Amino acid sequence: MSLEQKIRSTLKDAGARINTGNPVALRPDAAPSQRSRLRTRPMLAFVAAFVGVLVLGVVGLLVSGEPGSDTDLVPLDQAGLETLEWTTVDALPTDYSVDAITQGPNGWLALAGRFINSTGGDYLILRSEDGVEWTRMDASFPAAVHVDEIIGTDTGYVAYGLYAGEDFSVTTTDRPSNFPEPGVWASSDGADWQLTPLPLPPPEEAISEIVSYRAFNLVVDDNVTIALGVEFDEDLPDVEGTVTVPTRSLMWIFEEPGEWQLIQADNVDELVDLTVGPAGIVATRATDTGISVRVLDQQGVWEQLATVPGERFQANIVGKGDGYLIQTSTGLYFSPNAVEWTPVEGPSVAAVLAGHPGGFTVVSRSGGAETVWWSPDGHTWTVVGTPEDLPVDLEFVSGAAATANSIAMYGQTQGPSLDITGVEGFLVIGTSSR
Amino acid sequence: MSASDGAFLRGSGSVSDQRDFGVFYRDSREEMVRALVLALGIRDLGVEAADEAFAKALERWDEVGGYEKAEGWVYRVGLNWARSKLRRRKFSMDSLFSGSVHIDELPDPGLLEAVEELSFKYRSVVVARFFLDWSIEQTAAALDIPAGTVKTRQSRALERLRRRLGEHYES
Repeated sequence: MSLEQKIRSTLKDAGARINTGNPVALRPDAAPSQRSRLRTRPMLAFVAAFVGVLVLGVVGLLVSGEPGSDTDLVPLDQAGLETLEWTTVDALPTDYSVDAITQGPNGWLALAGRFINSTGGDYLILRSEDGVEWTRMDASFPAAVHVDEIIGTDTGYVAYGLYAGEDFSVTTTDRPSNFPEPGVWASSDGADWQLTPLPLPPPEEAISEIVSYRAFNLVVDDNVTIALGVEFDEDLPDVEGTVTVPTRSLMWIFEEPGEWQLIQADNVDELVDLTVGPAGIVATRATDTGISVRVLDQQGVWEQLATVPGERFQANIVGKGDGYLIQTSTGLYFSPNAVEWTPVEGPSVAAVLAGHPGGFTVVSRSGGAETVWWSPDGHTWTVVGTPEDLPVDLEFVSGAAATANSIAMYGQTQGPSLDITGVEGFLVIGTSSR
Repeated sequence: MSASDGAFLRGSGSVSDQRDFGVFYRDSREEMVRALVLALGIRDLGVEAADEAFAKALERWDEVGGYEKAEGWVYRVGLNWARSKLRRRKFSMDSLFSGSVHIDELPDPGLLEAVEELSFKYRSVVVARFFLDWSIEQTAAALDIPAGTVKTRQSRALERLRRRLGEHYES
């Protein structure tokens, strides 16, 4: 008997012994999402571990909106969370969680997702003109597998994530891997989104025959957009135990008018986080001697500005109009120019770090308890409350966004990672007037 | 398929479309599940991949139903779905057949173990060619790769199996 015949008979024999289970109920109105059991985010968790950012699923959104014209504005550093009036809004369908909130020319947008499984999710957009009244937009992201974030710009909104063809494969490139690939969606109003694939290295220049890609950060500064990403080696041996996945860092740049370009530069390696502030686009890079702070120069090169104490893979940075805030393993640091850094007197451990036009929000977490801090300038910090002041029972706060007179916070009510039975999404709105 | 197992099929198009998908599903599901389990090496993953792929086929039955070999489309979609799911996980072959078959009962468990040790790209071709009995062209169409690549992968897979198993399996 030839080897081919032997393989055939062995596979047939083995196949016949496989318990194929019962056929499932297939209905045209029952998308795979309705039948999926797993609700994990392994890829997000992996990227989070890679960049040192805590990424958590969220199911709640709390917003204190702009008060009406007949209401006195209350600076957020004077308005404790317990003084705000909160109301629940039923704009978020069951099972959807809030993943990001941003502001742009068409108002507030909230990205909400219903995670299906590791191959993708369903996403929707909620919009609010004033931060108080929220409605679901008739919006969709073409070919989206994952939408990670939305960012408001002066002229519209940008989102990034992974896209794929209808059969889960990517048809725009000739690669053996067929994994979903990173893409950027752009919209002027938050409703009509156009997909642009991010250019990838040619297959012959990939780090392995089987690779996958992911963008994990994106910032917009005037007419320049920068995205960071990573290339993963997927052609790994089937071995037991922990495997270090070989990776390569990537950077993309878009400058209007123009097209997305892949920038392959050595000093892109190990960039962890990106933000925009008074010095322009600034990134953090983990090194053996601390957290390197770098600014992107006109030639697309990252120029080192400073080194902040800290260990690898914890180097989150946010910027706003008059400064930057960094969280490292040794604490929080503020700088007005990304060059001179001083330790923050106030919160020391930030579970959530957000920069807004009106200030910085930090949610510090210690021993399972959270405290919400607010600073208008990065120098003076005020405790504005705890999640217990909010009208929903959040396990933890996972994100925040704000203007000078309004703040949005969202969090999770159930444990992260595995959830077999589904979660109840909700949306709660509050006003900052009193 | 009986009503007692809770399964039912209802097409989205015309009555004839519904019947066509039902026949396709009934006739090909078990073979697709087995092929995907063999190619993926994990029983539960193969079953789930098949279910996902058939659900996707139903959603697009107007198009997929017109394919000459819709099983090839289901096989590819199931593999893509599962690989995407596994892309960040290491998985063990130990779970193969767990709860459904005892590998020791096979006449030649060493050969199956050798097939399992092939990398995914070779194993998916081996399963298509020798379990599903698809031609080079059908395998190429199903996996969306050139026929020459199928030949190359099959040849290299056989070479590795011969090397692994020794002279006893020389053809």
